[in-house]
Amino acid sequence: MSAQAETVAPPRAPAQTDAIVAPMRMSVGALLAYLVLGVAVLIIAVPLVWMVLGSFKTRAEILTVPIRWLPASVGPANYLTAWHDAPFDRFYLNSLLVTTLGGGLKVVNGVLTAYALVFLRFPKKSLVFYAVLGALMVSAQITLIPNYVFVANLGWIDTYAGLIVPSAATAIGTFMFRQHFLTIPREVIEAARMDGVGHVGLLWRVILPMSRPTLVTFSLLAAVWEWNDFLWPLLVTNSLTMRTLPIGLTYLRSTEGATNWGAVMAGTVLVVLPVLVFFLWAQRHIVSGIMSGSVKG
Amino acid sequence: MHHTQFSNMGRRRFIGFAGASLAGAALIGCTGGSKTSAPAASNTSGSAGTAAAPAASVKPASEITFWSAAPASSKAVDEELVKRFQAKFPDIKVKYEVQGSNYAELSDKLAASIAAKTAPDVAMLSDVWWFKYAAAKQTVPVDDLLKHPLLKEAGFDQADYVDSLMKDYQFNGKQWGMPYARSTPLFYYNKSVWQAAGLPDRGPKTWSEMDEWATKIMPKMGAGKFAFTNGKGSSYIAWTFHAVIWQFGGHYSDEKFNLLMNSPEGIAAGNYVRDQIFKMKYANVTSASETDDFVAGQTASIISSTGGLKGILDRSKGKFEVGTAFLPEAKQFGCPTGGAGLSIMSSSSPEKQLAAALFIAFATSPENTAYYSQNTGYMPVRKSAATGPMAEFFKTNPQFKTAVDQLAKTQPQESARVWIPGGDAIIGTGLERMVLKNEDPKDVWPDVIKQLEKEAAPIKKQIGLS
Amino acid sequence: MNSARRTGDRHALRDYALFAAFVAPNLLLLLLFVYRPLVQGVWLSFFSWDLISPDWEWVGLDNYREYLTDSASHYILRNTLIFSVGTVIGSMSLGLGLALLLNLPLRGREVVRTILFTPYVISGAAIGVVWLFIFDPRLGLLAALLAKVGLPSPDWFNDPNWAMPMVIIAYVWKNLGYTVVVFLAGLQSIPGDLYEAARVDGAGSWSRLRHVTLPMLSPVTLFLLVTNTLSSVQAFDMIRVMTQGGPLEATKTMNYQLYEEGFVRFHVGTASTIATLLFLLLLATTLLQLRTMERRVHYS
Repeated sequence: MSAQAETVAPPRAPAQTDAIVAPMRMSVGALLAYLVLGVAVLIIAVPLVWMVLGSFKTRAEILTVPIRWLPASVGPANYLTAWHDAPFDRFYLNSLLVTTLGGGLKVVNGVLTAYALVFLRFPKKSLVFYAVLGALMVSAQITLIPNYVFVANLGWIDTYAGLIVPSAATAIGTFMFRQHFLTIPREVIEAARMDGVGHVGLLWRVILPMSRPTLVTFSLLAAVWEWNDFLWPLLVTNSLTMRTLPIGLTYLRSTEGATNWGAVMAGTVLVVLPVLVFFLWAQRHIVSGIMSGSVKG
Repeated sequence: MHHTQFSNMGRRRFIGFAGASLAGAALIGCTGGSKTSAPAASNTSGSAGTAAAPAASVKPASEITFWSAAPASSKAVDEELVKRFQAKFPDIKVKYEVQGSNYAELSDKLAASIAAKTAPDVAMLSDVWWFKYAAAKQTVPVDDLLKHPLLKEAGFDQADYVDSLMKDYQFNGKQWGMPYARSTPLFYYNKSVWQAAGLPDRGPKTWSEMDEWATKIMPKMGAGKFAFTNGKGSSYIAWTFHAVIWQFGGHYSDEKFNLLMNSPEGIAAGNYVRDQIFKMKYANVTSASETDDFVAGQTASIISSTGGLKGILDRSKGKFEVGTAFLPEAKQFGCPTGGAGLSIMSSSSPEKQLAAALFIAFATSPENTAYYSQNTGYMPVRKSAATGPMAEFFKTNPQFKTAVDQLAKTQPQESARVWIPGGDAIIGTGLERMVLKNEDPKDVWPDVIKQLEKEAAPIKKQIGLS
Repeated sequence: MNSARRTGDRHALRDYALFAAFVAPNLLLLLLFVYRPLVQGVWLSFFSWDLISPDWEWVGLDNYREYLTDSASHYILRNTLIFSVGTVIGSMSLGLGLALLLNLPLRGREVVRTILFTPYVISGAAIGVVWLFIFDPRLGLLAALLAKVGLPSPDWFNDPNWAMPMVIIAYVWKNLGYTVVVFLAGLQSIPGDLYEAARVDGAGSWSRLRHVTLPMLSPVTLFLLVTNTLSSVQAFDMIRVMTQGGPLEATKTMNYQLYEEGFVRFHVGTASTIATLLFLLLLATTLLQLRTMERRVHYS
């Protein structure tokens, strides 16, 4: 069976080298590319660096004139404060669980719906597509209270179900996978069908392997969304043991009076790090280009 | 006055019911309308309207939930008070939950919880939020709860609460909440700058004294820096300006929602703040937070919340010494109260309401309010705290004493800012037109009044004022 | 012939069943948690209700009439358009350019990709605070950097003309990573042999970009155009933290106004009206984008 899939979607050399680079290897073009990227990185990185530096600064070092570029010493004080003011270990656990399950369900829902929309027959299926897409046009603010009431009636307040289920659907994922599936050459599908591969087999052994960049990209995005979601988890959980990381950050901030910004920065860094690790892993799969499949010749 | 209280219940109640079951059906969707509308409606007739007093026979519930926004990093302080309460009343468990990092987030959650009937028993509501919940009968008057014999046993003494702080929560002759995390505007000045400018070590008695002092301060500040900095719309300029409009003899409004800012006094107050910026050029408007500007030495003085006092002292340590003073006067002294209090929800059972009242009374006892005050910068809400448990603290923290001394001269805020939902932002945007664009108050106030009138209409209707 | 048609029918039916099974969970959840609230919102837009009391009043189309004739709404609609057009153009053009560069086998590109994506990972509320520290014209990093080259800082927060550019810059900065990553995934899905064929035909790198890369990228471009438009119109966190719609309402967008009407001013009817109008506006925009683009989009 796996042999069959391989004949349909042979591993390929990365596409990237072919794009525009060959003729300009180590040329003016390449230098220009480095230059532009350098400027972009600088602009993007400066606020990030500022945040990390801030996470090491004392209260007296933040927001000063003249500006204080570097903290006097690099110590974990703010990180310890952040960790002490909010039980981050428990928040990590909750966020991890919610992100894995919620994000995972989003991926499954997106793939299945998009597969159905692209490869299965159904009367007026474009209407289904528009119905899914339409969900993206509803402002989250207006859905908050009705959904809260609904989830409360289910008895899901302060539960993982309440955190996960309402966000398990995905319109954007469906759209993304549909756009990708539409670019898969018809010949590939037809060849597989000729070999008697069923829909489940086609999806699992042909379509998904050919969609690795999209699959990983969407998993990453879904994880980011779940990880950072704020308003809904704030509403649907009450107890400290059910809170997620973004809510944890609010324990570090305060409305009147003076927030300890160093601790907030430290908390933000703590929240961001796991997702960055995930990104470092994911980007290899997005960009390694193993699976840019098409029919040979 | 008090029989008109919520007297619109007759015919409108009927319409309300019909509407509620219709629209409630839409809101709930899955379980039908009766679920939302019925309990909410019964709340109104039950606890709020007549405020069924818990008889002496009512026993406090064994568990209550307390929602806080933990302002001024007070989570640990709240928790300590809960712990103390637990030690004294082991049979009443208090579930303490922080619901968001500011009053707005707490209110978002509270509104949702009311729709879903999962509201807490005690909620922290700030000056601009409590009235709406009271008018919608979601909180109860505490008068009768406070008369329960159990509270007397616990040493509760209503007369000992600071009058202006209590008055804030009074409406139609009833008390709709108790002061807790309460603040007032305070004048902060940079003592090093004051000294360099050869000024006495005190705040200006009047604004004209400030105008005069500013001419000495400005040369010491350097280019781009100012003698005084105003807050902005998003940092509650409508609150600090409340003081100024009073000082000039004007008012935002009266308690019948008559809007009074477009008076000669209101215009003079607006013009004065403009002149500080555009004519005398010694004042500016902060970009994000006036306290940040002050601590960074960008301005010599600010008017800002006492809630920030502790943070300002911490952050200026080693840079300059901070002086605090009463607000300057114009025609007269004027200073509003602010911050948040604790309200009891109408959806709670009488037993829970009683336990809630007991908790609130305990958390605001002289010792506890002093503890809270010393660790947050909020005002002690009990008169006896200032002479008793706070006295020692004042010796090492003289800046605190000024704030507490000023408290006796403060007044509760007027309806336009705190009773009209969104009133703060409407007045704040109007003030921004004056202080950012130098617009004439004569042109601005009528627009502000028009908007406020529109926003006031539904709430006036709700409380039977129109 | 007969039997062939019957097997065809059977296949079709099996397709239908499988379609339903694949689509059902997703669609059901969307119906429950998105469309049900939307329908309620549309219904509530005909009422006057304050969110927390049991008193409701049917007002028919009053909310719409009032909203549409209010001059403040027109200003806010204008803000919404400027914000969205600014952020979408910014994200799409910068995103495509950077993705093309990052698709090259340059040294250190993994690090660059990670840095570009990082802002997207940080929650909007947290990063909003960092931006306060950067744009503050007295205490901020940008002012200090500008001072080094002798330039004054714009009055980002207090000048209504600068506040909107500020939130647009902050928003593009934060969301660029999303556009870059999705474009990259799209670039990676372009089969290598298309380039080989083009090269055999003697196409230069510019011509390959025009005739291979961009057409093959068009489905992803359409996706990004639609999703970037939708999310920028619904931007909330950043505005709430950075400006709260100010100064002088210069950064107040429809979605922020929706929140304020519903949760601060307690006008559920008005908030629902805005949500309904916003839905219709986005629906029209998206359909327009799909209609005009889908024809030109190159699918296989």
